[in-house]
Amino acid sequence: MVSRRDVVFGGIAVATFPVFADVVGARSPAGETLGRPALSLYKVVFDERFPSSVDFGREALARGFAVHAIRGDMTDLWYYDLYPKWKTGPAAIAGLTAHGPLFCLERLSWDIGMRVSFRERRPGDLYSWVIAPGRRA
Amino acid sequence: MRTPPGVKEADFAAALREFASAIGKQWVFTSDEDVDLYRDAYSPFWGEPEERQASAALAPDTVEQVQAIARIANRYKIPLYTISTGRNLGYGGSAPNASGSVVLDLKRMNRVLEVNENNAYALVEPGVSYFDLYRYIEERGLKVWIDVPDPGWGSPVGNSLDRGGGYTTHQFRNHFDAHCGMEVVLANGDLVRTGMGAMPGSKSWQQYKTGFGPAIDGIFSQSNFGIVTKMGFWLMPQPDAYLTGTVEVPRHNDLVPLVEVLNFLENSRICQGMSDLSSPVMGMPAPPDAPPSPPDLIALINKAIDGNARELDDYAASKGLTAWSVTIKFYGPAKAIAAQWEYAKEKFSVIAGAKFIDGELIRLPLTAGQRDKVHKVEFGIPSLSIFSMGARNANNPTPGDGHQWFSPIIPRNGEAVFEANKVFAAAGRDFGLPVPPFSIPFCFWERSFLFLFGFPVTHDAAKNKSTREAFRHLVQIAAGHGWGEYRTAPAYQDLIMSTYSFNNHALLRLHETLKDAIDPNGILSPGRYGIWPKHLRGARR
Repeated sequence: MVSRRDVVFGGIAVATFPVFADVVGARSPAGETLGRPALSLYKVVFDERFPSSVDFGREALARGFAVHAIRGDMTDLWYYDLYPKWKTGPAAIAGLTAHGPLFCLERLSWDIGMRVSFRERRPGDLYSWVIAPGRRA
Repeated sequence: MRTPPGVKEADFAAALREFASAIGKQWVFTSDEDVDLYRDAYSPFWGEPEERQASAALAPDTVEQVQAIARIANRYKIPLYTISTGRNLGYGGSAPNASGSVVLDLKRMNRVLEVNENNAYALVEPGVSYFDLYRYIEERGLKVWIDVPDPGWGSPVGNSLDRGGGYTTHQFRNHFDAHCGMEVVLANGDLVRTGMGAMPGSKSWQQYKTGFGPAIDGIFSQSNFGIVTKMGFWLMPQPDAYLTGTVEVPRHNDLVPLVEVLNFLENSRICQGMSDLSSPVMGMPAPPDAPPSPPDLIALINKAIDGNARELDDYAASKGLTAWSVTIKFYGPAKAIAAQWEYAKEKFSVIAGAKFIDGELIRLPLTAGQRDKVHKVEFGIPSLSIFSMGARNANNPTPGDGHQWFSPIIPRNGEAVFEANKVFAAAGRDFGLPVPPFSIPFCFWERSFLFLFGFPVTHDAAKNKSTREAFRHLVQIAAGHGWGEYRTAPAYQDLIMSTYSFNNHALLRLHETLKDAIDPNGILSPGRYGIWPKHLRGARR
């Protein structure tokens, strides 16, 4: 099992996830410039149960993002962290998780006008995703 | 732009302008992007022409704005579909019964108006979620508990009006029964308070339920007679301790006396929590990632369902397993609940071979470490952890995109459990439904059992069609045995209401009489729980 500490001190990730190209506005997986402004991420979410999600967390950390580990259940992440943060206004988050946490976070984010702006199915029935301020936020 | 049925586009546009004037145009949602958020993620008609979808949504912030909306809707005959948080997934979500309705989304009305610690009650608006109320109490260190459903992201008002349930003690688990006092906007915009709230300056709105005259609160639950804008709830004083005790009995037919004793203890309030019934030998209820039962065991279960349990009992004995287990739960002073458990053991000892397992006594409040280990909802802590279950795994390679609950109420006795299993197992085989070999009832409600079958909803129209047909058959089969559902999604509300048909549907006819009197233009949630306004009623008979 990989703990959050392993992720923090585990060194630079080797994988590259398209979601980060979307977030940082740099280049798409095919290499073309996306032309979108960089998106400031409040937090990147990964699930300790899935190695690819842990890799994702590592890459996020290497890119300088704050990361948050879950083990399937996103309740505490939302209740103690995102909910108070979102009370002060929209704050974009990204993640590589199973469908359940994404389903919940997406619906909770709607309440403050945020939307899933990127969603990609990944091997192992996981999803990489970005939830960002929507048109009405 | 989508329009409500029977409403001219120009009239709808005019109504939307008036709604915007009343609540602010930023709170009137008409774009597909916004309105699509109100689709029912678990709709059994997902993507099909019959999927019920809204035409627009309104998000008022005050009671006065709700009143203004009702008056405008009445003038233009615009159907409104009220939701509080709209997260009643599995029983309907936020999509209306009548496609084209305008969702009246009360999420912004999210004020906790009062929590009284001394007398353990709360008064809240509809947009207050269980998490909001829990946070309010936790931040102030108040020694009261809420009773929450699972998941807990809905609202006390919405869940209780839908007659949902929770997991703590008898008098709080039935969320509608635990309410005390309502404020309701009627279809004509009039404002009513029920119970003691009907008296100006009342000092006991949340302390005495029925006030004076007919107690009418019930007509605002599972219905469309008004828009509830405030609701009071009785809360649970934080208990000193929590204790569980487990009783195991050896033989299949021991379920009958086991339930008899359980009923006595629950009805006497000796044990107050939600009892958990299970069958160790059958491996039921099975966790979501459990492998299928082996065929030889299923054969023995089927024989037991047919009335011959001897081989299943022999199998249990050979495996060192018991036939039945029930875990009962106690909340209260440590000494008192320990004594209650001892008394319960005496009562269950009438069953030959009964064994007892003492659970851990937990002194409350929970420590942080305990909080992470317990089943949170039994301690009034809202959670979304249920969404981390049911993921794809070796034993569940094709999880659905949602589920629809088939939830009949069954008499509280062992014989009824056996009979229901005989009926539902046969129906499951006939219609190819994922009914487990033996279904264990839940003890949510006092005096009755609840069976819960979650049938998958997918994004495959053909599969959904087949599941819908099977669901409808099950409703009819259950009704044929006198078992009715306590709650359902809009897709099945007409069907289930039609099974409550005593004396030529006298109850539904009474509902309709009330509807015609209270909401003559039929603007409030047409079709909710099978109650249609006159102008939409004819074609449905």
